[in-house]
This record gives sequence, C-alpha cells and structure tokens, in this order.
Amino acid sequence: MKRDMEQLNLRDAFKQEPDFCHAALMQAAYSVKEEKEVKRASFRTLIVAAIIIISMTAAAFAAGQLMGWTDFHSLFSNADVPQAAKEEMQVANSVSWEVGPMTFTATELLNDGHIALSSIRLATTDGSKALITSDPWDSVGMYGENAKGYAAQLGVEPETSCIEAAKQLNLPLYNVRGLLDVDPETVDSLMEYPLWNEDGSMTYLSMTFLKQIPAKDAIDHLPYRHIPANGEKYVSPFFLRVAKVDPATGEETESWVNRTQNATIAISGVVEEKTYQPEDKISFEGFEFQHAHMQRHATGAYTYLVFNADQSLTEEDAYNLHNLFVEDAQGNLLPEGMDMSASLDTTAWPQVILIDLYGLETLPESLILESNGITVTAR
Amino acid sequence: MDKDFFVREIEAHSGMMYRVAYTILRDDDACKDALQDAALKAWEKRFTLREERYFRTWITRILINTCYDTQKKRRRIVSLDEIREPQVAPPDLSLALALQSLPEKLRLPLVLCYSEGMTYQEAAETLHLPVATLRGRIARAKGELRKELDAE
Repeated sequence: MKRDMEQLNLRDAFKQEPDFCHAALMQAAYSVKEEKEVKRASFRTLIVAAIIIISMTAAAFAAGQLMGWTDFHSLFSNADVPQAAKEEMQVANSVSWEVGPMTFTATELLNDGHIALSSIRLATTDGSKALITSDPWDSVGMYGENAKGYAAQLGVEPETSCIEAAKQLNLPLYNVRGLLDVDPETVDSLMEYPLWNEDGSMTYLSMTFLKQIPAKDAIDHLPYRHIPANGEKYVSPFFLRVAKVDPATGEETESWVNRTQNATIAISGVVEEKTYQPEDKISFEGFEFQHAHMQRHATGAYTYLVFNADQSLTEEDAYNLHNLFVEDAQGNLLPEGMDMSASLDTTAWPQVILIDLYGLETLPESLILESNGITVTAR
Repeated sequence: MDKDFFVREIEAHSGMMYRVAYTILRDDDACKDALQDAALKAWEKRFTLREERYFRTWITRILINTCYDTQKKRRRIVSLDEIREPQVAPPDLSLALALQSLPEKLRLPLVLCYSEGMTYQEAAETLHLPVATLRGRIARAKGELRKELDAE
C-alpha cells in the first residue's frame, strides 16, 4: 500500500516514553546541585591574571598546546583521524599575517582532493588582552574543553556572553573568521567551528567539501578527482577577517579583511589502492554488487562501492544502498572517516557508486558487505 | 541557568530525548542509561548554553554524544536471558520498522527534522554537519523510507 509521504507523522514510529526511562531521567535532573555563588575576582586579581595569560601565550603556542581537528573529532564525532593525517596536517613552518589588531597563524592545512581543511590560530598581535569570538553573543564558556578554564582566567561565569564579558572587563571585543577561501566553483559545502586554546587564543577550524570531478582517465566511471601526484601543490587564498564590536550595541565599528595571502598545500594524494572482487554474485535490493575500490590517503580510505541497478529500479531506489554495513574480515564495522559524510553517484546510471571515507591506516585484505541478513565477501 | 529552569526544561523535552536516544540505541535499557548520563553531563556543561531558548538543540547535542558513549560500552550481542518481554508497540508499527531499517546516519537527521521539528539549520548544528550534507541525508532517508513503506 502506497503511503502519502507528506502525511506521515514520524512520531507514530515511536511508542510512549517508558515510565522507567522518564523516572530515571527526572531523578538525574532533580539530583543536580547548584553551586555556591562564585566570588567575583577582584580587579587586582584580574590584572594579575591578565599578565599571566599574556606571558603564557607565547609559551603555550611554542609548546604546541593548540586545539585542532583531532580535538574537534574527539569532542563531536565518532571519526577516527589516522596518524598520517595528524602528521600531514601540521604546518611545518608556520607563517603569520597581521590583520588589523590580530595575528593569524595557520597551524593545520590539508587537501586530499576530497576535503580541504585548515586550523588557524588567532591572537592579538601586541599581546594585549582582548576577547575573540566568532559570534559576540556566544558565551565565553563555549567552544571546547578549554572554555571553562578560559572563563575562570578572565574571572567571569562561563555562561556570560562575550559581549557582556567585554563590558564587565572593559576589554576590546573582536569578531573573527579565518579559513581557506576555496574557489566557489569547486565547493560542495563548508563547515566552520572555533575552539578556545588554553592561552585564550582561538583556533578557527574549517573543512571545505570539494565537488566530485570525474577524471579524464577515469576507470570504470569512478568519480575520481584528478588528484595530482602526491606532494604536488594546491594553492588557495585565505579569508582572514577581524571586526571590532562595540559591546554596548553589538555593532561592528571597524573591520579589516585580508584575502591576499595564499596557502600552499602539498596535495595528500593516493598512497595505496586496491580493488576488491566479490566472491559471489549478490544483489542488495536490486543493486548487483560489481566490485569495491579503495584509495587510501593520509586521511583514510575513500571507498567506492560499485553496483549495477536492475532495470526495474529508479535512481531514487539507490538510496537503499545506505543500508549497507561495510566491515573488515573480522566483522568489525570500518571506522568513520573524518569527513563525516557519504555520497551516491548515479551519473552513469544504471551504474551506482556509493562513496564513503573510512578512518583506516591500512587497507584491509578483504571486505564484508552486509544488509538485512545478506552478506558478501570481497577480496 | 538555575536548577528550576533545568528541571522544567528536561521535563518538557523528556519525550524528545527518549525518541532521539531510541533512534540511536534501539533499546530501552540503554536509553535509560543514556538519558540519566546526559542529564548529569548537561548540568555540568550548563555554561555552554548560549541562550535559554536554544535549550532543545543544546540538550540534543549532549544526548547524542552520550548515546554514542553508551553504545560503545554495551555489548553488541544480547543473550537470550537479557531480552525483555515484548513491549508496547508504537502507533504505526510498519513506520517504526521502516524507520529502524535506515542506517543511523540517515535515521537520526530524519527524526530530528520530521519527528522533533528541528529546522535543517538546527539539525545541522546539532549534528555538526554542513547544512548541504544534512539535506542530502534527509533526501536519501525519505526516499529509502518511501521504498520500505511501499513494499508493505
């Protein structure tokens, strides 16, 4: 019986919250304790704290205690970041640029032809105390593990907005943004996220998802980007912006932008690849599995699962392939990749390619595809 | 955020929290553990809530991370002795089965937007995904769900 998708109420897919779950949740909520009011730091203490922060800034930077993409994934996703990616991301000889009162320093850069990512540290050029934020209305206690400590150093409650903290502490407030300014023609989508460092500077993270571009020498119509040989250069400008915000009004009073500095990134190309042939002829809901191809970069293994669709199917049916689980020979699910995405390519229909990144350090000897009790081994 | 507000909001959102937890964990015992842990973690991190009006998306993000932690701790295989007696069925069992057949990557965004009423922007922020990626997953999930339901 066909259903009208627009009339579906997804709530009906769930039973009522069981009483024992509700009771456990509310018991936990009622059990929390409100702390005693924190004594606000005296003005003298704030001055001392400021001096400590300023003097610690250079030391902390030199010590490498800066947040980056690995920290982001440990906080917010299940992704495994391969060791090779961690190493390749590191900028060996940091270059810094002054934009208005701030200094931007690229600390992580990587482009594997599928994603282009950056981590950029921001701090005041002259070491003076200031509040840096990507949104003036965000609370000081946001953005990662160091946020609470940073708020304590400032002497404000973590839930204080940056604007309010700037007013209380009489500090300049800067709204900032620092990322790779990738050619829009090549961009599929973009994500950005700031994290506080221990020293009160900010690391601004960005990941650009690049459009799939078929290679001239495509094999079996794989959506294979024409990735230059490993180590060849990719050049992209940075977008670096600082705006001074008036804490009284929330309005930007002055701004500076720099789009002239370029990032030169050694392409992290394919270091290893393997094709896996199925041991049996198997179809998953009308999609006959042809083969799998893995291309391992430092970032992990981009995996292309190639299927041929039965003539009775439509391209929308290809979405069923997201039901598949991909496992190693021991039946362990392959670890999620750092791009946190998967996609389908139906441009060569009835051929369908399911593309996903797995956080693998080496390519497996064989793969197991499984869905709804149907399994096939490919090697 | 004071305790009164916290308790009130948890009460108001408990149904949503259960549904999101169940979407990931698919087991009421595991949901109970995750819900308790999430409430305690949320209180500990209460200073990360930007504004009180964002409570729903904020608590959902904490809950999702807690569910993943709970998932890692639990065994994959449940012994026969541990299987609970049949529980109350949802109002639309075939819809429930179709939803559960989706991979979690697709199931969760669909539930956030079409069961819990989040906007694409809210769901994208909750899941730390680009909006475009979220839209793609929703589109895929709807297509898949349609296919499952049409096969009834």
